[in-house]
Amino acid sequence: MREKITSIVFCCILFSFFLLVTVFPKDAKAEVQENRPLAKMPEFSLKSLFSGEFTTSFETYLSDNVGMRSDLVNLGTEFKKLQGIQNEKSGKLKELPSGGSLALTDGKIMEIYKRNQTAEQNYIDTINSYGQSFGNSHNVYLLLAPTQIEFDNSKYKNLSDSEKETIDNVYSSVVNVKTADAYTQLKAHSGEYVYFRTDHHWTQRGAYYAYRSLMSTAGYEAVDINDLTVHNHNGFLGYLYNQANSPEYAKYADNIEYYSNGKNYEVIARGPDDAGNLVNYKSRIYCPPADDASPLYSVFMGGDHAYCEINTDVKNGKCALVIKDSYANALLPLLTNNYEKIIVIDPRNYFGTVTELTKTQKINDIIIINYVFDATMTDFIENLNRVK
Amino acid sequence: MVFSSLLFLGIFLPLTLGLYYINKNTTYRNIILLIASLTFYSWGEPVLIINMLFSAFVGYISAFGIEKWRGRAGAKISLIFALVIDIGLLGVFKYSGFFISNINALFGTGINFAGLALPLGISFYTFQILSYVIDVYRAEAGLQKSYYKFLLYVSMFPQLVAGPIVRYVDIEKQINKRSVTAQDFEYGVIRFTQGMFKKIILANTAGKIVDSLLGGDLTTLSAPGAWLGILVYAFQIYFDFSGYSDMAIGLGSFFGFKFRENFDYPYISKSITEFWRRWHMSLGSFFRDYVYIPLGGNRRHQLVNLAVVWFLTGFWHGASWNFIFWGIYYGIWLIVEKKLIFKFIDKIPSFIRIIYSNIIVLVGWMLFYFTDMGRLKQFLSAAMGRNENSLNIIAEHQAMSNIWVILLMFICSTPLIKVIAKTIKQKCKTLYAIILPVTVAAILFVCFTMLVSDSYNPFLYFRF
Repeated sequence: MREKITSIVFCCILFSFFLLVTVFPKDAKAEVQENRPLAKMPEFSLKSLFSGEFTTSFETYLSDNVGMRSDLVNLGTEFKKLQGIQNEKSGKLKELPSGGSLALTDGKIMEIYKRNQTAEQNYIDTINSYGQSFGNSHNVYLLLAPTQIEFDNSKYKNLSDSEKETIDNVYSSVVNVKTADAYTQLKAHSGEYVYFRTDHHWTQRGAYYAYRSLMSTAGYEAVDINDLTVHNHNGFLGYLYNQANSPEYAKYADNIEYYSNGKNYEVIARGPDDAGNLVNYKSRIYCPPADDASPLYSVFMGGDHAYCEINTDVKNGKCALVIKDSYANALLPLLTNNYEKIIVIDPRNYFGTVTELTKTQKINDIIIINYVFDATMTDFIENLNRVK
Repeated sequence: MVFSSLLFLGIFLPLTLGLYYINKNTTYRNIILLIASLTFYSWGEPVLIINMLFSAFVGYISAFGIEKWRGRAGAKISLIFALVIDIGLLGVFKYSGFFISNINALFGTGINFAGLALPLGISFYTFQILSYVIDVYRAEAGLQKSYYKFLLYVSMFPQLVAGPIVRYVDIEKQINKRSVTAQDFEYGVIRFTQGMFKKIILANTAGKIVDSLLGGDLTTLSAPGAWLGILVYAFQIYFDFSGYSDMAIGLGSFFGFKFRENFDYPYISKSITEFWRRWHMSLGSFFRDYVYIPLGGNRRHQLVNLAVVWFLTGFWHGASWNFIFWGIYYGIWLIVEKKLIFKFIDKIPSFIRIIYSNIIVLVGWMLFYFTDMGRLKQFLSAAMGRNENSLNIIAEHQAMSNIWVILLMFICSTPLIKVIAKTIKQKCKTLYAIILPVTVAAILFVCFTMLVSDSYNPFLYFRF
């Protein structure tokens, strides 16, 4: 009797797994939770079968489309918490599938910085190639931004390599490139709300201090933050929050502040659409969320564009070309106080070159704005090289 | 394909079991099992499956030669033919890269060859084929005239990729005639669930702890971190491997096959000799029956025989020097125990003997884990607390956030749960009849959830 019951229970469970994996519809909530479209059934071909590609993508397809995926993921997170003692006060570490790790502590989530000497040297070489090519005809500026773990006081700071060492190394190795000391400015103001709690970016207040250092390097007069009007949007849960997958951090949702001089300039952008075709479209330097929506970092500039231009009312004839990552997005609107025209390219998906742009446009300043992690990322550095 | 995947749990196993049980005919069942096994194998190895089919065919054909020319030179030639080809293929696939890199290092040659892709399970199925051929030669096993039945033995998916190494004689009769009782099926459920638990809940968790402690920069590793890392690695390798064996035995039971045990609580051993009687038993007995005893065993030049066996045991685990050292390390301990320690070991209390044997084993795992001698050196210096700027946070974090699982690992390394279950089963049948299915259901559900949860993969769309 008992033998039969156990066996039947087992078979029922196996059958329910079968239903969940094969019959149950995919879980739309998982798409929202994981911020991506779930994998589609891979196309079958003999070639993909023999290369092993088909079987791998098929298994991804299965796990992505398993019924009640988001609930199972959340339940799994709960099970993992039972594996030991969780102590929010003393913080915790979270290792990421991509290899890095996060420190969750004191009501904020920070990325731990790991220096990569080889990549760093490539980064220096790349920046120097910009200095060499454009340093004589243009002003070339570099702003390398630290992240918040650099100014943290918890024990997790020790797990992180020194970002200052990277910044100092890069700044002292570049030739024909003028560097902006954002580090000192951010450090002096690190007691203020200069970094998000749930995102890896700086706030616009943080970006403002970096902007000030850039303007002093470039010899422009920085706008005074007190002359700008501040706008607030609460409830921002950033990238690190999603990565950490720790819902208890929802209570530390961020407040996105942006500082406007009253002119919300138009951004004329060009980039690939979902199908990969180059299209022109428009955005604004500030894109506040609709009334009921939570804000995103794309409040600034409307997100990342492969290419975009801003024409301002500053009639000084000055044109800046900014080569950027998303850290720059919060800083770019501030530059509209100082340049008549700002051209922005994102090396990750811009497929033209700076050389072409300097020929077709009258550019005075070439400004590279990156955050320090870029100097560890081989693919970013390759892109930076490619768009030169 | 691996057992601990949604594909296996959600599609492959339910389908195979369903198809298997809709008809009682043994030929039908054998064919289903063979198709399932070949699908299972070719899922990950659509090309290299040819090697398995060929190796099996060589073993199958040679046995005919042995039978035909029994007592004459032809039998020996057939045996040698099978040994040379099958061991040769294992050598080419598994060890060629290792030999070339050593030749390059020794003679300064620059042969550019990184080695071949290793066919899944080759170390296991080659040994199974060899055991058959040798047993036929020794007239201990009968000739299998059907290639598909022989292939079924070689490729049977429960034991194909990670053992146990099943002997043909053990399942010779079952291939032609077998039955599954309710007890057998229930036993299968218990063993399969036990294996899932060990693999997904214990070994996978242990694996993450080990990666975070020993997988990165060892120069900042603290001494507690180093010891915790290697201790958890000892659990990882045991639960991973014995979990797979449990699942294999359980799956075998679903289909009416009885496989021998492969592990018997190795970490409660009171000596190294005992450890090797409890660890990966099917490999130990393979080397004993097919290498050690034929070489002369205890009777002639025992030391040489031991050296050969332990060199081979180490080398079988991987084509790298550290595995050879690991094997030799055990060979030496076994000799030391035989010649020296066993003379007074009876006077020592059991718990000290258990500690002694586990320390030796733990040092063994250090040799086993670090394929790179430079990293082993760094690890040892960390373990002795010589890292000046060592950080204890990661070790602290890993220990605290996994403390209950680590405790569970200790418990599950001993027969405690088995004893408790047995007592309940004898003393209180009703309670057992409730606890068993509930536990099975709970474990499988948690394992399934963990598998889905581990595939959580938020898109890095605002990576910058």
